[in-house]
Amino acid sequence: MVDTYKPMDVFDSMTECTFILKPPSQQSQKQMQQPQKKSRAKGAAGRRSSLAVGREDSADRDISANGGFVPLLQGKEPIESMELRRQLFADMWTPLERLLSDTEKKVNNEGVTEVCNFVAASYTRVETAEKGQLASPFAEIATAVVFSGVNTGDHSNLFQSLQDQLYKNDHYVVLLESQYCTSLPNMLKSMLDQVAAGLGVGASGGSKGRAGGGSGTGFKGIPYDMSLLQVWWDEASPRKDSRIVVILQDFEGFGPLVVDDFIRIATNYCKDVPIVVVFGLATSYECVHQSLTKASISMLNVERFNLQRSKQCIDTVIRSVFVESASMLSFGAEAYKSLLDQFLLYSFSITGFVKKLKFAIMDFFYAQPLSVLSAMISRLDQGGSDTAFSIGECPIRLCQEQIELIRMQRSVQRFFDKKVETDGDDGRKYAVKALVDDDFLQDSVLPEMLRHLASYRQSYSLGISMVQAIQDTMPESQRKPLRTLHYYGISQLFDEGSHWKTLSAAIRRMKVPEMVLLLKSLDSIVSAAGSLDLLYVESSGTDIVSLLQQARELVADPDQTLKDEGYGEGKTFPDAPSKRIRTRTDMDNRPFLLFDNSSTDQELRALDIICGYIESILRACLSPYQNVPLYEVFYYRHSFLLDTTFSAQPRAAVQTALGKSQYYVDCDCCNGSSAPGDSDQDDEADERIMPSMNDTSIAYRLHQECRRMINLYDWYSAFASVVEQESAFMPKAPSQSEIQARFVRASEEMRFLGFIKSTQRKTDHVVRLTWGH
Amino acid sequence: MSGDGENHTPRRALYTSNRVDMGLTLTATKRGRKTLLIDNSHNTPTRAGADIAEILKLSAAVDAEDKENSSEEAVGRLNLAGQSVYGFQKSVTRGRGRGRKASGSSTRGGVANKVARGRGRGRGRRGGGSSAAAGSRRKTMSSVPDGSRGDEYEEDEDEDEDEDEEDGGDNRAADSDAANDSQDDGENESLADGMLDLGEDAYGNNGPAYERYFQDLHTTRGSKTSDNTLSKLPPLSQAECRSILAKVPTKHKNELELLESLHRKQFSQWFFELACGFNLVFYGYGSKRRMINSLATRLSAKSPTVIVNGYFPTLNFKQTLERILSEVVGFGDTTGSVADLASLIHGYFESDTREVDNMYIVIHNIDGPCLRKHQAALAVLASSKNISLLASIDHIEAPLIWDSSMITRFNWAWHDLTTFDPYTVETSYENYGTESTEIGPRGVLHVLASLTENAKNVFRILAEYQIAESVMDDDAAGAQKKSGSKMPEMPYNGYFAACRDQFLVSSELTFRSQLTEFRDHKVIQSRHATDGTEFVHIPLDAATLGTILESMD
Repeated sequence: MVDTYKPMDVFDSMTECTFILKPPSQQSQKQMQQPQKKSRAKGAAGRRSSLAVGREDSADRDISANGGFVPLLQGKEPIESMELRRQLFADMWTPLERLLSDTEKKVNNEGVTEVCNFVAASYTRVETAEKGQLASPFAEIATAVVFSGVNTGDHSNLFQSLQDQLYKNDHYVVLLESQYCTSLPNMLKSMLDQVAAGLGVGASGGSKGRAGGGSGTGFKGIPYDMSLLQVWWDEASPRKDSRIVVILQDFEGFGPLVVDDFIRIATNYCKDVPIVVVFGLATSYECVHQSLTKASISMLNVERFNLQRSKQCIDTVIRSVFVESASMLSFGAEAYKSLLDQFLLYSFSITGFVKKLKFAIMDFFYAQPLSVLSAMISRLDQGGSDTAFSIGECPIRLCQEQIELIRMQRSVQRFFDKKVETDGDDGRKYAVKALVDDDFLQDSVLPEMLRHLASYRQSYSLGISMVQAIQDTMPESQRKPLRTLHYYGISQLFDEGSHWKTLSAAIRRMKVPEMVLLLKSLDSIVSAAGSLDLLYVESSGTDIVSLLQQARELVADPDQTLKDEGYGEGKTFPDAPSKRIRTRTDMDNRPFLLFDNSSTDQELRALDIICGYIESILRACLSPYQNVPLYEVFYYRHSFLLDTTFSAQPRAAVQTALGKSQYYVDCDCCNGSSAPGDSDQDDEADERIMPSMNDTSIAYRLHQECRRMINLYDWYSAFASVVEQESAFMPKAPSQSEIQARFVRASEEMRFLGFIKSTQRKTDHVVRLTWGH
Repeated sequence: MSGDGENHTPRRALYTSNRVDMGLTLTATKRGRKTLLIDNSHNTPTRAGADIAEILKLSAAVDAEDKENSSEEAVGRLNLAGQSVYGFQKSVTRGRGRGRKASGSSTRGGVANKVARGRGRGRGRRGGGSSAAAGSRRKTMSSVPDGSRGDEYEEDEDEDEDEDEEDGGDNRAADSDAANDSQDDGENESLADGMLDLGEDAYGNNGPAYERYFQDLHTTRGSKTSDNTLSKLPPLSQAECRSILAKVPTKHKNELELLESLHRKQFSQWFFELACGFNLVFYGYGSKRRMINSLATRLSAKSPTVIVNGYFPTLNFKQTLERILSEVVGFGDTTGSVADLASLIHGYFESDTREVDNMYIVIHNIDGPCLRKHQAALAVLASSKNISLLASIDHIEAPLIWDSSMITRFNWAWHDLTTFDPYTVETSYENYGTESTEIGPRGVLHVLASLTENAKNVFRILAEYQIAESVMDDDAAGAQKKSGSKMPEMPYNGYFAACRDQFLVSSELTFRSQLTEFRDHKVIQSRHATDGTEFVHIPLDAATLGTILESMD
């Protein structure tokens, strides 16, 4: 019996599983080249016709036009604006990408250098031992065990930079991955290929050597053997301090026997050929002991290196990207948390972090019609430490919809309200004009708002630096890494966050000399920040510079300053009794005063005032970003998008589609007749299996009522009893064979999706594989 | 009644006597199962007589319960070990009253059938004297007048016993056997019986109560499904199924169209993501191949696009890579493993001197059965900046096939593409649930995997013949579509000769047995022509056979 299956379309076939479509120009060439292959030519003809169909199809919209960018605002966005977004994305991402990879390299550099030094120093010791009287009877292979952390995704970058660095030092480097080294011959072949490819290749030949490694382009017919390596080494006679470094990038992935055998072979040659082995370990040193035999471990001269630096790396990235804001785009609290959680709770993978960051930036420029505003802000490129922004003109005129969108932002409305409050009539006029006059909004109001934003960002970064300076005086256990500080900074109010409270307690515990030091470091932070635009902080009534100045004076001469400012002894301090512990609050906040007799009352008073100053500075700097106009645009909020794109839950999606179809198909027919308001009834309606539902959905819901074993016939009967009710809304009830066919289809789909599997334990039974909803 | 027992078919007689032998060997090897000799060997009168004599002796020993010596003597003649004697004593004491009665009735002859069989049962399961107790108990059950029914019951029980013997092992002491007995029989015996028989043992040190709990949990509750089978339904072939389903109207047509249009709006965004270096993976319920293919057709306007049907049951990934190399990259005649080919393609698209700027690879069901082991190679392809991967997954546990370094290489961006489309194409290769005489390519592979090398070669000869024939048919008939209607067949004699020439079979008998195996699995079908000659063929077309042959290597 030949199956009389008729293909659905041109890409469906009972015999072919691969179809190759080519752009029209190349395709015609292909036709000329291969007319002899009959069946393919036929297929290609079919494909061509399909392509023609495809063309017509895509005529309405070419998806690749403008690099995939489409006009937003229901298509009303002008083309220039769209082009600008596209341009801005490229302008922003390219330097950022470079910055990120540079950061990663820089952070890894230290460890890489250590390993390089080890490689250079290896075997010299052995040689001196040989010259001496007691040469070791066993040759030991110099081995570096590199702990590279659980973030296996980043390892290729790490080892790539290690490889490049070793190349620079004139060593021969072989980078082996377990997937190409399933057996000893494979491993030797891969290794010798790379050695040969690396011959005469300079510092940058790494990736090419690797690409050639697994590609089977090696010398055919030659037995790959270590003796070949020795011969080659003798002939090549490289510099005396060159080594052959064999890096096993993912040691855990290698077969234990393969590595074991390799070590035994290499031991025989390591007197003549200086082989250095590097094991990349993601887990722990135990792994080496577990996979290698004692005999082969004894042949290794092991030194350990720690290259797990992804946390430092991420802190550096967060500083340069979010805190010191290389760009205007920052992350709102939720999106930042999603980004950070992915890193901290999942894999410590920098690649994953960067990926999410990139996607967020893509989304920002692709889907946010106001992202064009970021063209107005540029950073003055005057060295790294300068954090000043300059606000320029927008290169395009905003369209009506964009202007309206700006006016609709809550933060902008609050900005106008505040204007009215503070400036009275002038403010009112200003607000009215901004709401009516589009040009005025774009030319004067927008720059002002953006200046607020830029100023806020500067003071925020200043605030975080200050917090770090204060943290440095605290014990190690109370310090928080920058990534966490930033999260607190954007998510918590200064007066509420628990870490901020610890911080104030720490300053309040300080004595005069410590305070002098702290003030000095705070001062240097402020002056290092360079030309600060403190508009935002000043608008809240805090003058950082003068407060710091006052604090300095106070601490230098507490008596004098207090008197100068009109505080007399005791009189002007109604709440300053002579005892050290004056109030219960003091007892709570400053219990150390019980033991502290070194400070005078005046000093304590001065310290108290200074603490107040510092707190108010921090409070102003770390005020929530929600107060800043246009924060809705520049603080990325779509954490849900990031989660669904990178932490997708395919199983939940399928179960929702089948079990709660209304999330996807918002139909009237399947929701039962209950009133929408009544939640109890809604729940019941959820449970009810309606004949109008999708067949597989019915089968799925029925199967949820079953235990582990499902009798197919009974399942069918239940299915049929539901489907038969279709006659209520269909012209005719389905026939028995139709129900049967539909049931077969539904159960096949269930099996295809992995909800059930067939079993031999009982005739016509299937086993249920999932539980819960 | 005894007549009933003896009127059994010879096979049954043989069976029971075999069992006696087995019992003997067991006696020789296993301690604690000794009294086994008292058996239902009464099928042969002489033996039955001898057994009865022994039973008499045993019961005498039972009566004289305080005379351990005599009981030991009786048992000693049966080569019993001391330990089981103890067990024997113990249980006999417990079930003494009834035990005596049982042995008494057995001496009376006529009813020996049932009683002795009861003992036989006890023989297998318990050691020592608990057989006496069991014998008596069985007697109460065997008061059912219909002998044949009792026999059936007995047969079932015998099978149970065999299993128990396997499970039990040597170290099971006689009294612990008694405890197990309660567990085994707890389901079909009256409570009183169990209580009487076992007393403290069920909850004593030997048979822990929790074992019973779990046994109950798994045996009684686990199989509450009914015994209905699909044979109650009329048979429905796959082709009929398809034709019926083609006419079934779609539910929620309007809503699903809206859903689809929403998905289609994202095409540009997906293109942007691809251009930014992400690879896309689509999940969600419903066949996604129509949407993805539509996207792929658009993508193919600019760059070469490869569409791979990962759900295809005999997908040969190596061949796919070779085709990519020859048709897209332009490398002819490539060899090597899948990993080699993948890194060759990767290397090409990383090099600066390439002619083809970039390539799209669309993989429907990257979690498909034939692709599961090639994920590493796919990850190598995906990690190239100039190769973009678009894949769909359907199995709910599919993400488990990737480890973290693979995930990094794949650089996926996930998208929900729930379509509610039926998986018509994806499941078209399954035969599940339908009555069908044909066997799919996957089935053939499955059968072949369990066969010897010789048998595989026997299959290969026919397959190669068919491929050659169909190519000739193609050339000869051209557009007539003859190949679709009639399979090329091979005459039986020619087939045999070909196999013999290759030293695959030495005689026609072996050839027949090979052929029978294939025929049983519906891999090979045969047909008698009008003149009586036999023709054989594999019910698959040439291309499918080709892929099967390749994946056999």
